[in-house]
Amino acid sequence: MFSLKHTRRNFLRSSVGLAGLTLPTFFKAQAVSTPKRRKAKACIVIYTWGGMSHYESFDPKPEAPVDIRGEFKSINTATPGIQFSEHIPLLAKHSNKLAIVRSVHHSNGAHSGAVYLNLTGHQPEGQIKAKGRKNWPSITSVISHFHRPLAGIPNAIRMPYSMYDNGRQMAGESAGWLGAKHDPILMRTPAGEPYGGVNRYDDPALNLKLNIDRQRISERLNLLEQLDHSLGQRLGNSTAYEKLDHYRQMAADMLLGSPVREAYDLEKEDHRIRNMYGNHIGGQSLLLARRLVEAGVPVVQAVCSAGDLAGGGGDNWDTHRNHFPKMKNRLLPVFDRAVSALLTDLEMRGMLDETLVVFLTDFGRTPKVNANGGRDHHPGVYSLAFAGGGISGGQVYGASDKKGIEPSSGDCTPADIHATVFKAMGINPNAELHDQLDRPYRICDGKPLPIV
Amino acid sequence: MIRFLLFLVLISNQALGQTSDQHAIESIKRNGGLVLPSPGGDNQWEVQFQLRGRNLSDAGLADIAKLKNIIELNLRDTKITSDGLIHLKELNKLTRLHLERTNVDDKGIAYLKDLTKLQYLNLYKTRITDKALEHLTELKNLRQLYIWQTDVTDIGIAYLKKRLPSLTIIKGIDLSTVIPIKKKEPKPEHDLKWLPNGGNEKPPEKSVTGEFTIIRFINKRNKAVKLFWIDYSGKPKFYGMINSESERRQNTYEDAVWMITNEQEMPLGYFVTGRDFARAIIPK
Repeated sequence: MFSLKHTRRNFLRSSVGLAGLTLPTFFKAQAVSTPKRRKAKACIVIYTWGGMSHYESFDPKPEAPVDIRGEFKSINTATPGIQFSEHIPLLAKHSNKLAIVRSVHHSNGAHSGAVYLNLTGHQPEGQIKAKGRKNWPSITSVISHFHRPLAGIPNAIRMPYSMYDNGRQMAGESAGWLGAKHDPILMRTPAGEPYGGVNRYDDPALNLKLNIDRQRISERLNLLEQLDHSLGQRLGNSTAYEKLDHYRQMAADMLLGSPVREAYDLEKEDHRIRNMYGNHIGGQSLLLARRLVEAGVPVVQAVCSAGDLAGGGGDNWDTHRNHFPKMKNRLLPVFDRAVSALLTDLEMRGMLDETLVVFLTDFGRTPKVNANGGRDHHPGVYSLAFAGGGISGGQVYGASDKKGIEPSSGDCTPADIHATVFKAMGINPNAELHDQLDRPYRICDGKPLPIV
Repeated sequence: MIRFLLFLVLISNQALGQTSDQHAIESIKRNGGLVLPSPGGDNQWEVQFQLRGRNLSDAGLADIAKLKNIIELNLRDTKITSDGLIHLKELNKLTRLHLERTNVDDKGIAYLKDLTKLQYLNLYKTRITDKALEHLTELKNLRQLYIWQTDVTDIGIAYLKKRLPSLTIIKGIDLSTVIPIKKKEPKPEHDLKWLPNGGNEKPPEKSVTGEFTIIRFINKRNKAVKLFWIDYSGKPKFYGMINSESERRQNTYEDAVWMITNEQEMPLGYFVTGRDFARAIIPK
């Protein structure tokens, strides 16, 4: 899980190196290591749960045989030479803001491993559990560790559901060894037609009840404080108590009028803006993401799909059956409208250059359409995208081969994607973080792609 | 040790030159502002009021301007007006200025005309008109200008673009053109076909997994029935009883086979699900 050998070797190398430095060269090194480049201040992670087909989104193959290229046509985008699938026409108009990566690949064919890898940037080792504290932290937790919000504002928020596969919660969405304090808070998007399919509601999600009267909250808090006093004396400073206290304080801050509470109230948004995102939990989640970023939350993750795959039913990207009608009628229209609205909205508010938007998914889909009219899991190559936050838009990094089976140029891994995110956020991808036992880990093994 | 020395050097530097800065910083903090060292260079600041300092008024702006090395200033959602912007005249190192969602109008923009380092200026949802743009023509470094939800017209945009060709002016969309998604009429619930046991039409031997759906089983018999799902290997799995004249809402998937028996578990008939939500009426 944590590669002690590796880090120790690095540590030795760097400390031996340091001993050989004179003071002036040390200063020089310092100066070089503090880049003057602007960095993004916030990050929105859009996760298409289940594995979004690269063929039917950012990497269509109009030249391939029909059993591979599928039923959809490709369309031109606003950028000459870049084509998308015909069912993301709105997003095609935003291609000048997007950096598409068509050459990501890995070897985890199962959802659990693929989600973990794409959200943490590290290979799963052994049995990974959703709430495991040995897991690598989610990219959201790592970003918020370096971008601390003001007091009373959550480090990171994810919505609207946790990811489940047939009742099993996926690992990779939490803070792992960074500790509970850094777990992103699950927030239920308060509006929008839910995704069709099964959603598990047994994960504790935060619903900010907007009609609770403040006087009552204050009174309860006073009571709690008195209780805490005696309880605290009895328990001493146990970690469990601190953790509880952390959440209680945060919940109270949010209820008593932090900007987050205001952001959560989507009724306060112009109804035309709400319509622009689409009256769907996918659209309303991305609207909420923008409002939370405005309120000072440094990182927000929105899962664009139903919570539970449950054998391929419902609105998720795991399209083993009826791939084409499902993509055309249920998935792509929501994704297209919501994401385009987000990009438009961030841009006209002057937020896009400081807000990094990154699209993640499990893997791509198989080249051959199967007997059920579906495409199966294909980690051999898939597409992701970036926008905003200092990314140069209107470009494609890497390519898949003619049939979309594997990378033909610029092959890269989820770790490289993470390194790119970190660089855009002004975080050194080689930075070390310490777990609860103070053991050092290098946050990322990848190299930033040259798109920042 | 080296770090400690470095720390001392930094501390003494600060102590020597910047007591007036310290006063300004304290004043900013008192007004709910946030002062962050800018990544741009030493002793340069980024000042933010948009989160906790929204009560900032023109008077507070006078104190802020005493901190000379402000590179970025965010006054979004504050109570400042055009009159307060006179204090920004001295902040000639500003590269980014956020005035969006304030009551600033054309008069205030005149005070910005010498801030030639400005690269980013956000004026969305302020009271500016084309007149404001006349004050920006000398800002040769300006690259991004935001004017969504203002009274700036295409004529004003063309005027400024001509003088500042490398400037991008973001006008935003006209919200009256947003077309809401049509709400789909809920499909009328249809009824699944009842396949009586021993009838001509036989149900499939087992279920196949497909799309999620919901079926309402309605028992019209005068006796209770038992509900079984025929699983993927063809084995019946008991799900529950449905009393006479009552119904049960059942989550399932398309192409699933459901068997109805009497209380003695003698098969009465079958239903095969489709993709849509449906009723399954168990006849008398």
